[in-house]
Amino acid sequence: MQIEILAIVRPPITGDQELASRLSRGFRDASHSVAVYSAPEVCAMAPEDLRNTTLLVASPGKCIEASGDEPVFLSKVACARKRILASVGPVQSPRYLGRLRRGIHFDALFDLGFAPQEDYHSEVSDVPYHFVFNGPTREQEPLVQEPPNQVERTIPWVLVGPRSDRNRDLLGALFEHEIDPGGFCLLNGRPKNLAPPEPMLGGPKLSAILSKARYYLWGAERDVVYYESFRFIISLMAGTVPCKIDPALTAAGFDIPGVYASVSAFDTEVQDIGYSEMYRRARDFYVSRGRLGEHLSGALRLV
Amino acid sequence: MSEAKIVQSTNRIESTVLADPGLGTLYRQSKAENGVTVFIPNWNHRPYLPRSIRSAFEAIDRLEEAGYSGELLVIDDASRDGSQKFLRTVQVLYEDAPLKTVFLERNLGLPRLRNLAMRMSRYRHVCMLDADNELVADNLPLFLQTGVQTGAAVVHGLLIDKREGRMTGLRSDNVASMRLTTGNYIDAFALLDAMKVLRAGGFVTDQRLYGYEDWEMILHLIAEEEQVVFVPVVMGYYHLTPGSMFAETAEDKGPPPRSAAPEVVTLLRRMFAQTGTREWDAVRVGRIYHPAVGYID
Repeated sequence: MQIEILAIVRPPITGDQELASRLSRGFRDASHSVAVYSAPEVCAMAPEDLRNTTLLVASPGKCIEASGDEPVFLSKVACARKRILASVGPVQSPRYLGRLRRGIHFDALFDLGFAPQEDYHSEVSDVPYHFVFNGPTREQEPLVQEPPNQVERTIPWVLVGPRSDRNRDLLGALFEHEIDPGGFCLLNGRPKNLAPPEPMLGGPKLSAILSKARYYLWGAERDVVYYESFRFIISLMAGTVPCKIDPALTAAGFDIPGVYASVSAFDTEVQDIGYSEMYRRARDFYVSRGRLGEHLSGALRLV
Repeated sequence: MSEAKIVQSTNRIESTVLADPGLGTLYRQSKAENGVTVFIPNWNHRPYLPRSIRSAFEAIDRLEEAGYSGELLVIDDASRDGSQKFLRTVQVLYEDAPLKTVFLERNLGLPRLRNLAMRMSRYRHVCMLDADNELVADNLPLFLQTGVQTGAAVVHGLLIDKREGRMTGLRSDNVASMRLTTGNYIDAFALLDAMKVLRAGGFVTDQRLYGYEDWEMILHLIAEEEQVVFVPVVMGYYHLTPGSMFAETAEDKGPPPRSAAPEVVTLLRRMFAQTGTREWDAVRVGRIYHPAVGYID
């Protein structure tokens, strides 16, 4: 088998697959040759084929599970020239630590996002950390200056996420502050007992809703300082203004537009500058810091 | 037999049951499609009527702004707290408002009241608003659009629980699934297609199910393969007050309606889940819809 120099192990989970496909697009934009393999395909590779390959793994635990043969998978991954853990999410989470402790010796960690978390990372791991700004890919450009189909945006805001106390409180605050009550709110329950997980709204369905909305709102899911860059991108691509209500983020001085300490602060900005200007600010932030491909290439050179 | 004929014959039976032929004259056999009848059943809820009536009037204004129509129907179920006097005052003060009031001389109970309202309604779609609850006026047109566009028998939206002015929870925020056979999570505060619900027999008046007739109705409609549609938008506020239906049922029967008394669960599972298998509980039978997007699931 002819092996590419750069390979991504495709995880079986939808969210991680989005990360894998975004990495793939980013590397291709930067003219890297990259292939994507499933975990069983990695198991089937010959060790000599892997010796010249830099392997990016997005979700080690899920890939090990999906491989069907943990020892073989780990031994094949160990054969690669370099192993990079690709991560999206807060460093201060059990999931992050879990990824680092799945029996793979990583040579580097690429953290895709809008703000580096190196300080927190160095407290929990010795794996060399590289922040990768989750900038636009070639296919996302040019990003329009003005949000499209403004007249059709009849949904004032969208709140989608797990049925948690925080999301419930956010909804309560929206109504308490008498923000336009016509917002779209879909909070999904966590899977229980025999019941299969309720489908979380994502992908094309979420984009379809966002394309009819003005603001995409969310709050912090846990007590960590983190900004969800993928939510920002999905929102912006649909012409919706990404807005996170998170007092911890504003206190930490993040320079990402659309971060508010409270629903009241969000409302003030809506009243003061409005949808179009808020969209432009978000757009300018996203496009002004370089493409994802350039950042990935830069990080790869350091490994 | 046509839908109109079925409803007509059930109307005749209901008139006999109510033993008040006078009520039969109030029935409307044909109903307009382009509006909503907001129905408030009242039994000794005088202190809360101003809030629910105001929200209903505002909702009717929003319907009219959106090109639809609306009426408010309040049926007083032989209250003893002076509600009638208050309602007559409202009628005088708002003589031009689309308000219809009916004062019953003897108490019929909530399920019969709801059936009566669906028979009397000018419009096919009836929004069931408890006297102590409150509509989010701006959103009623979305629920009507959903009802018209989907042909659903029940259209429900999010209800915000409020206690002493503060949000304490959410209800009716789940899509209908067969998990409804173990407990109800869709409140009667919803938009109903009166023709479809009446054709299915209306709310049951069986004493064994008193307080749970909305739960039985949802399961019955699902069994009749009628559509139950969830719109992920807030329909209204569910005010938890010491005298509310929720608190009353909880007080009288122990556990709240969401975890009903074992004999009620047993009866409803015998009616709608006889095989006893739990694997199908997760099977989704409801759908999610928003007029701006269409079906979302």
